Amino acid sequence: MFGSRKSLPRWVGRTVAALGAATVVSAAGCRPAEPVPGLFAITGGVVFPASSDPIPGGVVVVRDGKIEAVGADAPIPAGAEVIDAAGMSVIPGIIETHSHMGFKVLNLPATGSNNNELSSPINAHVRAIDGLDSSDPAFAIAVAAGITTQNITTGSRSPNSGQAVLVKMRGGTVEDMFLAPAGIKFAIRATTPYPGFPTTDRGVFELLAAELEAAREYLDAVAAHDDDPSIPRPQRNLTREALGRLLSREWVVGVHSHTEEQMAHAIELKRRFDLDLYIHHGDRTDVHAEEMARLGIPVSFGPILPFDHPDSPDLAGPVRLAELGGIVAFHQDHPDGHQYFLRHTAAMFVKRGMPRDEALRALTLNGARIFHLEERIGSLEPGMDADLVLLSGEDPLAWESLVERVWVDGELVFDRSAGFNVFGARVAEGW
Amino acid sequence: MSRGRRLAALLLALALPAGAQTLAVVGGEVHTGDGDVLRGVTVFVEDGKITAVGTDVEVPEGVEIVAAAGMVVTPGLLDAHTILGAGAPQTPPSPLDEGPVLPLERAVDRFRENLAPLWLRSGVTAAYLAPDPGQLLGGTGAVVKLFGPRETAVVDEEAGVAASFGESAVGNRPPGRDAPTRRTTRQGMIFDLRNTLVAASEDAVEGPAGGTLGRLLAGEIPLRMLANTPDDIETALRVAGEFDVRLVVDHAAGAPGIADRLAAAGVPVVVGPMVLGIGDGGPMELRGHTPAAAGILHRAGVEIALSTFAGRGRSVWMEAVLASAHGLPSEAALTAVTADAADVLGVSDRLGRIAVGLDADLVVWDRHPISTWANTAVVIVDGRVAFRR
Repeated sequence: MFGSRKSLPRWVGRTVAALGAATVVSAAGCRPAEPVPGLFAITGGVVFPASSDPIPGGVVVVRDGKIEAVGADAPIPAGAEVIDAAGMSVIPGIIETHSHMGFKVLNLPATGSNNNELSSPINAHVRAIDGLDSSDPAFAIAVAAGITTQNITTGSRSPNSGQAVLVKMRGGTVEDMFLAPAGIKFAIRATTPYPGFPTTDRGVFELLAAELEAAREYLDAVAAHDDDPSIPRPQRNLTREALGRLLSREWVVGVHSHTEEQMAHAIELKRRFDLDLYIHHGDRTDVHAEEMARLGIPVSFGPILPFDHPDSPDLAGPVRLAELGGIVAFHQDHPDGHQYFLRHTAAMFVKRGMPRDEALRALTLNGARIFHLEERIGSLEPGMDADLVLLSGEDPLAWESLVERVWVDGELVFDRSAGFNVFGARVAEGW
Repeated sequence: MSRGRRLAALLLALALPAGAQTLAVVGGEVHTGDGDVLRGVTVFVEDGKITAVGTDVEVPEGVEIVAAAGMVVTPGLLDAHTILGAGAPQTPPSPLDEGPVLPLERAVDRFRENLAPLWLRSGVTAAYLAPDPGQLLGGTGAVVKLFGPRETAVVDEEAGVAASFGESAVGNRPPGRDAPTRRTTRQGMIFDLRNTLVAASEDAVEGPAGGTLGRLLAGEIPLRMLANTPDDIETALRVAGEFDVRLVVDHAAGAPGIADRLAAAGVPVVVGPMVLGIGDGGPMELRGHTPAAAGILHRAGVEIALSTFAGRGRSVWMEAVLASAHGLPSEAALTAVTADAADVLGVSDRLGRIAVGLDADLVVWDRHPISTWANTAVVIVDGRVAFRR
């Protein structure tokens, strides 16, 4: 089934879009304009920019992979393919903030997994991009679910599983999909019984703190050498260089923590090292919400389905954190949770009192904010990447609304009615 | 309701502490479970049973009123396959050591009160408890309510004989050079199943297992066969046909491909869950299951019930909404978790419909339940309010 994906060249997306084109707008209105490649407009649907209020009957204009205009009265440029979205809705591409896709590969046994580098408890030098298997059939489900960007992490069986990577669902190889580095992952969790691995959660915290201290000393030594070349430069150390990017806040760190105590350790790391830190999972966000809001610690909350019920107590935490102005994003932790249901999780929080616009941001803009990419992805604003999802109903959070089409950088990557999926349709058939 | 009946209700209401044994759900749009919709009716409940349904039911003073005007009333929802109360799957005993008949686990032994309080909140009032899914012949399943004491909550303590087939049962292959302690192929497993049924039909199986298998062979309880690929489902049909046992296929990810055959055979399908972990949840084969399956089977004329195959998390209500979103008409989705589920589970003499004489397991919803935004308002089990939002 993968062969079929590999044999699909990138232009297939454009061809399918062209075949589906019903109208091409002319400037003068007397004769059809020449269609302009890479230019299209979605009209007539409810547009949810995520960064501002929904626009009934809104227009989204896309040119050369970027959003050119969004609004109720945005003019449709000559030569634009027009996609009629009456009765439908348009949202920004969904951002999955915690996924193991390409690592826990679908239908491969765990022995073939690259998900956990366990030769050492500290793996800041290990880069997810170097081990990601872009042929994982599950990528087809991601686009069928309206997901356009994923934070792909490894772990969490070691205190520090390595560097995460943000990829876009463009199809192709990992280089084709690459978007940006996604910082580093820590895990406050003592579950691996190997020599040198901490045996308690507190021990994990102490190890991570010691490594960060060592990285600080390394950075200081490098700085001292830069100031005064007579002082010898320390030998390069890729682990400490990587951890140093956390101390300089160049990179974000996502800390796997479930329990109240594990989350307290994560928060203590934030305080002690002034890190740009967010929490993965965060089951007890209800307990820590006030402090997380005050310190600016976002949560990537999940996995939610199938594990939670709309009435589950855990769901109260993200609702509270959002109320306090904190940043909440949802995740499905593929493959532990099924990624198809990432969008479905939002309605569960709305039922628990989260405003709808906030729940939509937890699928889109807030993920972008965690990785400081909100100027590029996560909302529908002029100049942003044209990562769009067209849904069959006017309520994008309702489970009754199905994902009809998905674009990444203006390229069609999924079209339900045409049976097109840039990753190969078979795995996602029926979804 | 006849005058005499009204009088009887009145006398009963007077004779009892107010609200203890009688209750009336008044004014709702009643979806009976098998597709009928009655508007502005009263559902009258005495001693845990529905005793009247109609527009002309007079409610005596002192009876507890559940006001349902502007709301939707349905039977309590049924989850047709759960692993509620189950711990980690046990390592199956060895058929090679112990002969073809395994000790049959009785899922009803896992019953305890209030097994799934969150599910109750989404209107699920009863569930099929399956035995350990990892075994060829895992044991007997039970239908239990999710509220109330054992005496009323255990609806059927032996509702079917569960068999797991395909990858989930073969998967535990012997490691390395150790000699196998159980069958290592599908065909080997099916030999065991045949051999067991042959022995049972010759009364060569003694003890409780023999009695249970006797009921199976007599058609009193169905064989609940968990099978996913079209070939495995056809094997289930073949074996069931050879011994003339009633068959219900569970999970059945591959069923849409042979839907016409299942419809012709009159074999119901308990559709596997669509909301599951793709990595660690259930057998690999189940991952071929899609939300479109329920709609495809329904259109082909296959009787279906829905299930979560779970013991926690999302409830079968969500499965019904998703099945509807992916092609199963919403009334059919409701039927698949009420009346049809009760039929498939063999408990329609008590559960699954709003009709006189049946258990008063009722749910009042703020809108049609097959909707993302539906919420329960009141959940009633055996005529008692079990949850009020």
